[in-house]
Amino acid sequence: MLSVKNVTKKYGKLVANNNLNFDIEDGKIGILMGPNGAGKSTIIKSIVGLLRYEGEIKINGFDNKSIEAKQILGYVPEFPAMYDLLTVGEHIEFISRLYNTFDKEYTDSLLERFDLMTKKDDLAKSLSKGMQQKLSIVCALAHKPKFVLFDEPIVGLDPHAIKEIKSLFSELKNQGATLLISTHMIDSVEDYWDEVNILVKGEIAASRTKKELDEKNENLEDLFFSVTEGKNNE
Amino acid sequence: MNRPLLYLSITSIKNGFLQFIKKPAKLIYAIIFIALFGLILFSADKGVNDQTIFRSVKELNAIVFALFTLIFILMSYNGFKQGGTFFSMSDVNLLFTSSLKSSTILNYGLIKQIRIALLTGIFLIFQYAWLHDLYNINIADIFIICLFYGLTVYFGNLSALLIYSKTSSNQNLKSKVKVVYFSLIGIFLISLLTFVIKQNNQPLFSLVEFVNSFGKYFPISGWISQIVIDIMQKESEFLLFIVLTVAYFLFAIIIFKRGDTNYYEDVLETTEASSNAISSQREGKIQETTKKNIKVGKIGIGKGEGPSVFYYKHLIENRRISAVGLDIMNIFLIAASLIFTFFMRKNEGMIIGSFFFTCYMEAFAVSRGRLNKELSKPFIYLAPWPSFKKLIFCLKESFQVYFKITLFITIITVWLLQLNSMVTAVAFFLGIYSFIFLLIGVNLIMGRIFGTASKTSWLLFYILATLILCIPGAGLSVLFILKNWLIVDENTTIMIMCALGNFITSAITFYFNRGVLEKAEYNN
Repeated sequence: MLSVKNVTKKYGKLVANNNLNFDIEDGKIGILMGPNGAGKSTIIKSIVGLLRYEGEIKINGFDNKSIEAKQILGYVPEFPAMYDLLTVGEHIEFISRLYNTFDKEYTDSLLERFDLMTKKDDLAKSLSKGMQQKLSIVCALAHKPKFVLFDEPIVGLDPHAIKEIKSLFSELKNQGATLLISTHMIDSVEDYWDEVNILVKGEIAASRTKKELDEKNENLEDLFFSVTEGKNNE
Repeated sequence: MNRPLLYLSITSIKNGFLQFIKKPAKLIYAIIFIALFGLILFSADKGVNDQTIFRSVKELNAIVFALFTLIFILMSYNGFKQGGTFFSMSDVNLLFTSSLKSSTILNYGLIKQIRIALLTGIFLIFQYAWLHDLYNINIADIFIICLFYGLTVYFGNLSALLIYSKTSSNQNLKSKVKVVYFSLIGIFLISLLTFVIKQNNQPLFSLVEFVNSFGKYFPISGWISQIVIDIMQKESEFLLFIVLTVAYFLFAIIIFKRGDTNYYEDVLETTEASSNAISSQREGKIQETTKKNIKVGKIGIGKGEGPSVFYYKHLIENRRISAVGLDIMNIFLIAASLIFTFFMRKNEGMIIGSFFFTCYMEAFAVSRGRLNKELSKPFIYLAPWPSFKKLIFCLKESFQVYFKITLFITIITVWLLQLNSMVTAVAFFLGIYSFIFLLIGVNLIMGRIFGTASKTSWLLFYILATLILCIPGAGLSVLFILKNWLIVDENTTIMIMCALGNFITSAITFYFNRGVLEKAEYNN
């Protein structure tokens, strides 16, 4: 589903991503981990097509900036950017019209899950940051994307929403969607992930599948600290 | 001042200065700023000679009073809503939680805010050229206006803080203060209206007369504007108004300190709001400038499939943004252009002055338009439609809104200037409308180069790109004037040639930036 080949992203002299290579297979959940400033958000934005970069990124065999790729793509940004003057319901209508996908029952169920149904007629401007994050998640999923990128999706959410998003990860996976999640919160993904890439200083410092880790009797947290704290030079 | 606060103040000023050395873009920006001011000084002197008959200085007094009073009312009224602030979020998080006395921190905030407020009037120095041409003011005068404008902002903020701290927890008192507040404004307005009606003719003349005679009695902003007027006209009466203003300052501080010293809550909401606005600006986001309570009205977008939904969404946003469906910057564009034309209407060949002034004001309005707001959110980049199609539907509302605005400005300008030539009126309309296209083209270029990141050099490049794109229109105008190929007259020829040049340049810019949504970077 996702293929990242030789991707380098520079901001002037700063190399945010240096020659990254990784794939995520169909129906799998990929995790991007790394300390602050490792370049996780940069590669996420490059995959989504929001940044210019050197290299090649393919989604389902299509160039990531092609219309075909965008049709199956959903993106939850780190910081929600909603329209102040639209209501919650109008955001959903906007996405449905933009992608020509109308499934009221499905979008209502998303609103219900994230406690937004009662706020359907409220302006986004009036929502708290956490509620805006929930709306951002609902907007990203409203057109039933096959490939969804989450950039720090847990940050700012209340326990109920965290529970919902965790179960959403497995539901989406069971429905055949591919997910790429960038997160600091190891325990939020420990039960669901299939492949992990740990970024340090813009480079992939370690890549594992869950099977590989299980075979070595390691866990994600140990791997993360061994890589980021320099105990493992892989 | 307390030692840590003194250290904080000095270090902030020192680091601010060092930024100029570390970031050459800031230094270049400052040099360009000074160069632009130099250009204004140069062009201002060109427009005045021994035969120039200046307009009555009373009009200038009225303008100063109106500007100061408007900003003072707008700022002090915040006291009934979210209060005022002299602090930043770092002050809130680090100083408010420290062991320093709240009164010491307040003193620090009051001093710090003076420095910030005084800079808010800097934009007024660019009004020097036309003020010099019309009212014969000198450079010192414009700096005095800037300085005291900043002081008015400061007092507006102080009044908001005072009102909020005393009334926020007492609804009854708030209602009483509101009555007094609006009574003062009401009495002044009724007196003004009565005076104007009694004079029977020349309403503008009466209005100016009234403000010159009674404006100084309007609290705070009236006093401050009178100080400016008296200093400019070398009258000694300003000492009285300085005493009054200082007395108000002391009164406000004493009242503020006498009450509950825990004022932290009073400044928190405004500090958070201004901090959000600053971070949004840094991230290149453009916030909607709306009133606090928005009337939602009919819910639902209702129309549009695919990229056309951007257009229908914009219509809904416009409906909610204000009662007249226009962003505050567009309202300001209309008001400023027409006020300028009104005051300049008796000058010969004024149409070209109105034309250039309106174009100048358009630059501010367009940079806050729907296109840039849309570029600061991810949706337009992610939507699975061809880039150019998305762009066109994203701009459709702007084309329509600015068509109406330009038409309105044209009609009123034609009426104010009593223009007889239909060709000149059409040229005025086309020239201004074409500049909208040109500015949108500039925004596309800026989006392509800078993405959504706000950088120090952004404004500099914005001005440079605008000037470069103006060259074809300006070149055509010069060519036609030099060759004496006139259409009606020189002014009409300039406006038509500007329109022609701008439309051609915009078409080329649009063509080369049709894929901007694939090339631009979303950095938020």
